[in-house]
Parts: sequence; C-alpha cells; structure tokens
Amino acid sequence: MPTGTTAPGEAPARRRRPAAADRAAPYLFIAPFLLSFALFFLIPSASSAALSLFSYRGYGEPDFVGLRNYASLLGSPDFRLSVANTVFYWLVPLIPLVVGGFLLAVLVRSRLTIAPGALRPVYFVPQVMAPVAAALVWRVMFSSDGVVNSLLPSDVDWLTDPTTGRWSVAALIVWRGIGWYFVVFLAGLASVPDETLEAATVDGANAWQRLVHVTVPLMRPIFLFAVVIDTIQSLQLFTEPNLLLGTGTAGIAPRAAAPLMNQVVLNIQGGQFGLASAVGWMMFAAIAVVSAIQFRLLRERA
Amino acid sequence: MASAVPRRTGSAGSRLALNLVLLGFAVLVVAPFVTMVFGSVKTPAEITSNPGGIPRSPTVDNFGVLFTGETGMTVWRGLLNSVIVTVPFTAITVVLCAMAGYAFTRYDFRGRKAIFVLMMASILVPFEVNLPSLYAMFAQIGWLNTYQVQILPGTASVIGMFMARQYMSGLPGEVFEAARLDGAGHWRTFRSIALPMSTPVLGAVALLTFVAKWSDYLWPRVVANDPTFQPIMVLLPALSTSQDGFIVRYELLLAGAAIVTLPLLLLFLVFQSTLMSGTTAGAVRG
Repeated sequence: MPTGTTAPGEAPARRRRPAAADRAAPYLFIAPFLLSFALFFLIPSASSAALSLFSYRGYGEPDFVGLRNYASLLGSPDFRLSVANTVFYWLVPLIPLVVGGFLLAVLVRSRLTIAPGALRPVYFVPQVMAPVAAALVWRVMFSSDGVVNSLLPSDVDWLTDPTTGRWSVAALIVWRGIGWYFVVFLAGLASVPDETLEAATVDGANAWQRLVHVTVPLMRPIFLFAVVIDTIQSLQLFTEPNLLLGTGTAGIAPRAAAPLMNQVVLNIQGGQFGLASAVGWMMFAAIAVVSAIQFRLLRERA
Repeated sequence: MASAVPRRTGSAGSRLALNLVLLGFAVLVVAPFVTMVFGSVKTPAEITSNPGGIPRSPTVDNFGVLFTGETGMTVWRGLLNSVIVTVPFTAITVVLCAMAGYAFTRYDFRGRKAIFVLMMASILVPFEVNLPSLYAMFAQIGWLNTYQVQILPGTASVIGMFMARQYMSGLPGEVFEAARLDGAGHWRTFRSIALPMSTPVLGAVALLTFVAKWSDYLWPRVVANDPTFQPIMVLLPALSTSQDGFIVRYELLLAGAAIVTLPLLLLFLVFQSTLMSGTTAGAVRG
C-alpha cells in the first residue's frame, strides 16, 4: 500500500538514474555496428562522391575539376571498352542463369524426378568454390592442351584470344552462378499455393499452360529480384575475367576483355583517385536505375 | 502430402529423358571439381597427356611441392594470413550484428527508423564504389599492408544485422520480460537470454561471413601488395607462375585450388542447408 510517507524527491531521483541507463542502452548496443558502418561505409561513400569531382593523386591538395573526371572517362576508349565488356558479362549469362535456373528448379520439383534431394546440393556446390579457385581450375580446363580441347576434340584458343576469352568468362559465370538462382527459384516455387495449381488442372490446363499462366506470373517478384542481383554482381565483376584471362603475376585481363572494375583498380594503382571514384559512382548510378525500374515494375503489378 | 506438381503418370520414356537431362547437367556441374581433384594428383607429364581422365599413377608430390618446396613458405604464410584475417573478421561481424539486431528488436529509441532505413538503403551501394576513398584513407593512416585493414572494414554487415533482427523479433517477449522482472540488466538480458536463443541465426551469419571472407580476392589484392600480409586467395594465382608469366604448372594450380576449396567444401557438407538458404535469404521475402 502506498502510504505517501516516502520523502518527496527521493523516488523520482531513484527512478531517473535507471531511466538514463534505459535511454542509453539501445544506443550502446548499436554503437559498435554504427561506428564500423560510419567509418568504413558512410564516410568513405561521402568522400568517394566528393572525390569524383576532384583531381587527387593521393597526396597534397585535391584540385576541384567539376565533372571533368566523368567527361574524360566517357571519352576514353579503354573505359568504353570496359563498359561494353561489362554489359557482355551481364547480358550473356543473364538468360542461362535466370531462365536456366528457373527451368532447372521446375524440373527438379517434377514428380518424375528420381532424387531431387540429391540434385539440390550438387547444383549448388559451384557456389562453394571460391571465385579464385574456380577461375584457376577453368584456366587449366580451357588451356590449349586442357580437358575441354581434348574432349571435344578441338584446337580452340579459349583464353588467349580476348574475343573467345569473353565467352569462356561468361561460361564460368554461368557455371558458378546457376546453382544460386536454382535455389532461389526452388524456394520461390515452394511458395506457389498448391490449390491454385490444382484449380488450373481442374480447369483443364496442361503442365506447360500451368507453368506459363500460373507459376511464372506468381514468381514475377523473384524474377525481378534475380535480375537485379545479377546486375549488381555483374557490375562488380573482377576476379573471374582477370584470373581466367589475365597472364603473368599481375593477373589483369587484356583490355579487350577487361571489366569495369579494372578501371577502378587500375586508376587506384595509378594514383588517379578522382577518376577511380567517378567510375565507382557511375556503377552506383547504374545499380540505382536498375533497382528503380524493378521497384516500378513491382508496384505496377500490385 | 499434396505436391505442387499435380499427379501425372508420365510415360516411362519421358521419365527417363528428364532424369537423364538432370543427371547430365549434374555431371557438367561436377566436372570442374573432378578435374581439380584428379589433376592435383597427376604428374606434370600426365596433366598434358591425360588432362581429364582418371590419374594413372596418383601422386601427392604436388602437395609436397606446394607445402615444402620453394613455394612452401608462401603457401603456409598465405593460409595463416587467411586464418588471421577471416576468424576475427567473422567474430567481430557476428557480435556487431547480434548487438545491433537486438537493439532494433528490443528497443524503441529516437532515430531507430531513420538509422534502419539508412542501413537498408546502403545495400544498394556496392562496397566497390568506395574502394578509391577507402584506399586513400588507409594509405594516409598507414594501414596498407596490415592485418587490421583486412579485418575491420566490412564488419558492419547490414544483411547479417537484418538476419539477426528478423530472428530475434520472433523470440517470445515473455522471456525478456521475465528476465527484467528478475532484475537482469540490459547487458545481462542480451548476454544470457537473447544470445543463446539466437544461436541458429548467429551461426548462419558466422558461416556465411566466414565463407565470403575466406573467398575474398579484390579487397586484399588492393590493400595488401606485400606477400607477408596477403591471404592465400591472393597468393595462389601467382604461385605456379614464373616471373615472366609464361610457365604455368597446371598440376600445382589445381593442387592449390584443391587446398583452398577443401575447408569450404567441408563446411558445405556439414552445413548444407544453412548455406543454401542463407545465401539466398531475402530472395523470397516478397
């Protein structure tokens, strides 16, 4: 029973101290994460955006140059070539990865499949091989006297000719990536309600019609997600082309097959931090555009 | 019991064709692994005469050369560096994600929503965008060619934090209430209630972080050009390449690839489903 005999001021004082601790607690829990986030992401992002407007050699005072970094990149044949190569590495594997991954998931879920449980990890396992290891293994397999030429049998220069080399890189990307899309679609297919498919069957739809008119429309968000993820990963592509096609200890792909990331890395190594940042921000702009389109397409539907 | 694919008998022929296609694809997918393992135990002569087939006289010489030959120091150093970098990176990431995820689930504080939105939006900015400014920043404070430059950046994993938050928000609120009534403080409640109850998700975050960090190539390649600090992923490609870059010893490359793949493959064998569902987390969020 409250008797009202507690000295006035004492209770509030006692309550205020824990209240301060209560207020501080969430911030203390989040502080370490936020510190790492700010130091290694927020500040570098801001400084990267600013740096793209300056000429900066890594020492001394940065010179403000406005949009000149962007202009000189757009005028550079090397840069345009690397954009074209990145678009190639983005679009060529896109259909095999997304459509192939989807069809594989549909087939594995079929009643006729003998051992779906065993196939799942097998198709996924290339994801587990690090890109470095995968590129090295492929370099051996596609070398002039490697297993690919001996099995076909052919005498194709898969790696040293950049034009053919780009196709080899695309094949490596598909091999390493398809299992990921397969698992994503497998999870997506599990979310398609059985009743909807049964209703379609009752209405006389065959397997193909069910797939095209029921499953695919329901999986639309997942298709969009897959395309966005593929776009982001294609823009960041670095290891595969450079280690598959790159010669010598430097491990840099020839110009005719070099991805966009090489422009970032080579400009850093050349001490051109403004140019390197500008490349990075153009990559970000591309990702923002693709994500915005995805968002629009999703909303349109809903 | 009901399957997504309605019952349909299908002829024996189409059943056979379907399974052959799936099996054929599985063979294609596994082929590079087989080439790697077979090739790693072949002699230099056999790797050219019999690049794909079963090794006629398997030998472990390649591994001997890698671990004890003139490259021995490099390989051990690289593996050691990979462990030195990957283990603390993973530990720090898990702790940061657990604490931040906990704050977002258990507390309502000023700025909570804004911070969360900022973090989720940051997923759109790839790490690579910041490579130039990060490099310039670390060059200035003398962190290039160190371990800390490979351990600290990237520990604020937004995806990891999000996974922790999702899981923790599903924990029953009563346990936390009970702990509070028992007089447990904020840290005690987190340490002895939230952490143990979140082991599954934190284990998944640890696993995914470890695999990604172990496989990382671009970041260490850019910030560490001194072999003393380079992880195995950066040292490996140069291992069997001579200075002029022309003589490539394929059997050594394959043995090296096998060495770095083995730990990941073992993790995959044990934690298969966690790895598969974890790397695709967020895909089917809708």
